[in-house]
Amino acid sequence: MDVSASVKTDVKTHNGMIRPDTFRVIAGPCTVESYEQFVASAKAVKQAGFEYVRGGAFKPRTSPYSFQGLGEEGLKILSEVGGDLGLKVVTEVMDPYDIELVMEHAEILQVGARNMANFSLLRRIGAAIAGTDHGVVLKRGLSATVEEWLLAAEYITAAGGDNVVLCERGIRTFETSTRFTLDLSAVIVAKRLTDLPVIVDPSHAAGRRDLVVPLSKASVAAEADGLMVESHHEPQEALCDGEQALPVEALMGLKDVLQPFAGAMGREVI
Amino acid sequence: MTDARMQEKIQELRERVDEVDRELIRALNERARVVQEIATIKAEAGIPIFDPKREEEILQRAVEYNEGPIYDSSMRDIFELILHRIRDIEIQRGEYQR
Repeated sequence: MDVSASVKTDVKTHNGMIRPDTFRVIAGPCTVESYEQFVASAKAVKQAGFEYVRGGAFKPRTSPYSFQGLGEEGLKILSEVGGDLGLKVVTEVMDPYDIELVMEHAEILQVGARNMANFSLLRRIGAAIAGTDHGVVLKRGLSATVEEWLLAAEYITAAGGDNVVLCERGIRTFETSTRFTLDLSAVIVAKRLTDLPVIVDPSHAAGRRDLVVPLSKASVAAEADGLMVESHHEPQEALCDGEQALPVEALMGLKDVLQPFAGAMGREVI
Repeated sequence: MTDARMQEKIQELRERVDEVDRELIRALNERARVVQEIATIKAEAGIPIFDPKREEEILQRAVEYNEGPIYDSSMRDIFELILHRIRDIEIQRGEYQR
């Protein structure tokens, strides 16, 4: 039996981020720490054969005393490096006041799990990106149901936003061996209910790099349309979430590792 | 009321409850069948099942029609469950497993 026949692989965004019959990989460091660090990590993403780089300029950290990101300086590094290497930039926006600024430096605005239910932010993003090629990666809240996640996306689209991509990033459960529990059922349910593409962030879900590749393979099988993984050229030195970042060698092999699984689902890893 | 008379009365009322339940079950399945027809048309047109605007209209109408003694908020909860359980049947049907 051809497994791919039962899989919805024809979803897409109008800005080309998600294309039918493909599996989109977004990679990059948790945070932009410096020009040198980001350019090294971004070059690895490019060399690994991927077109979208991620990196945080504004970081929603659990503690207000943890490193909060470089802010506008980080955004400038993102757009400069992205432009030089021909990579599209995905970065988080946390504050409604920063939406326009982030749009100047990034193609894709990420809404983090902690802001999924910040409906005024979602509405403003929807209105700001209306009629543009900018897209949104909407992460699922740490304890949000699929229904709540889809309704959050609706806030963006109802305000005129397009190119919304849902991102499953693990939910809070009693399990402590992983940081969160990756809920792959939610990927399938969301895809059955809507036409929105759904990608998976196995890095934040697992919180440890040894699970990232196996969970990425599982995401392909669970009908996800793509992946957002953290990677760093020097994970041990990373200012944030180093233990979950894929080192360069692992990132280089990712496309080849995933392609057989993607192929079985009728997709090409891009 | 004697004990025997009371038992008889309860029995009578329970039979009415059972009758209403049968009617509810019949009506719910009829509702599910009509929703299936809509879902089939939607699947052919490539329209997603998730339609929160329409759901909200249905939930508001359930409250509007409600004359009590069931609380409006409870009627909304009951209808939300009905909508979602019937929707669950739809997302498991072949049309959506392309």
